[in-house]
Amino acid sequence: MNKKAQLGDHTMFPMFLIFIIIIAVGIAIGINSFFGAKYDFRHIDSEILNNILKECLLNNNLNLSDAKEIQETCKVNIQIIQDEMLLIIKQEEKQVLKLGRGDETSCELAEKNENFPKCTISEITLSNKKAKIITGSSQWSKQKLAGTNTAEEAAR
Amino acid sequence: MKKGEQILAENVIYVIILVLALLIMFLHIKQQSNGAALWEDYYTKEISRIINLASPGEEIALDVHKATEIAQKNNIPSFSEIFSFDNKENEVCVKLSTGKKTCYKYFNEIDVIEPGLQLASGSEGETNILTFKITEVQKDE
Repeated sequence: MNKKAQLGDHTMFPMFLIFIIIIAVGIAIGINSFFGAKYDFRHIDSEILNNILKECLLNNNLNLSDAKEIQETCKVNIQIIQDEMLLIIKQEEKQVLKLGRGDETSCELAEKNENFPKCTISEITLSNKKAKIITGSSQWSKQKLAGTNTAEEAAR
Repeated sequence: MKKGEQILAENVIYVIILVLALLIMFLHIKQQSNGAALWEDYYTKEISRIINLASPGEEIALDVHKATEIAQKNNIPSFSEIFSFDNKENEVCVKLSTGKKTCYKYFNEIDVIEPGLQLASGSEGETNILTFKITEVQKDE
């Protein structure tokens, strides 16, 4: 092989590596997008919470603005609702309780942004006053290192 | 080195790199294709749904055969490591591959006690069952 041909042959080596890397990255992205699909559970969480609260508020005469009373009577963990979910209670269109991140606008945008809560809205009548219960969930599963309790929020 | 030997050596290097790259890709695909991450996500959320809908006094039994199969393929040393419940954090965790686990929180104010895995005896149609009990909150005790 003459010198020029040898030089050409050597310059092919980085190209070979680049092709291998491009193919590997392509396969990795494809595999992750196919097998790494998310299981969106936000609407189910919000529906369950909404049903529990609706039943509870209808069967108990509670102060709608008292989160602690709701926690004790309805057996829901207010801290988790505060951290991972959304709860808005309105009476006669006036907001009396709000826990968690987001608002009604972010509920509307849940399909466009996965960080916004997916919401469930129900209306009940309490003492001849209309009450609106808006619940939402923006919770995604978290990945932790096994054997520890150090949460490492996954980007999913 | 003779020219023939040089060309052969260069080609051997190319082939070795190619084989290594293919091997890494194959291992990655094999690891991902059993879907450990997706199944962890699925089981944590479905178990949290059951806990959210449960009341104190109930005993839950769930078919978790698929989870145990995946855990076995991924060399989880003990089945008791697969499902864990943290009553303090209101959290259920599932571990189907080594090194990490997936966790999800439930909002129902109850405690999960006596989790256990009943392994199938081996006869046809039997599956591995996860069992646990729901009680009132005992966090302060």
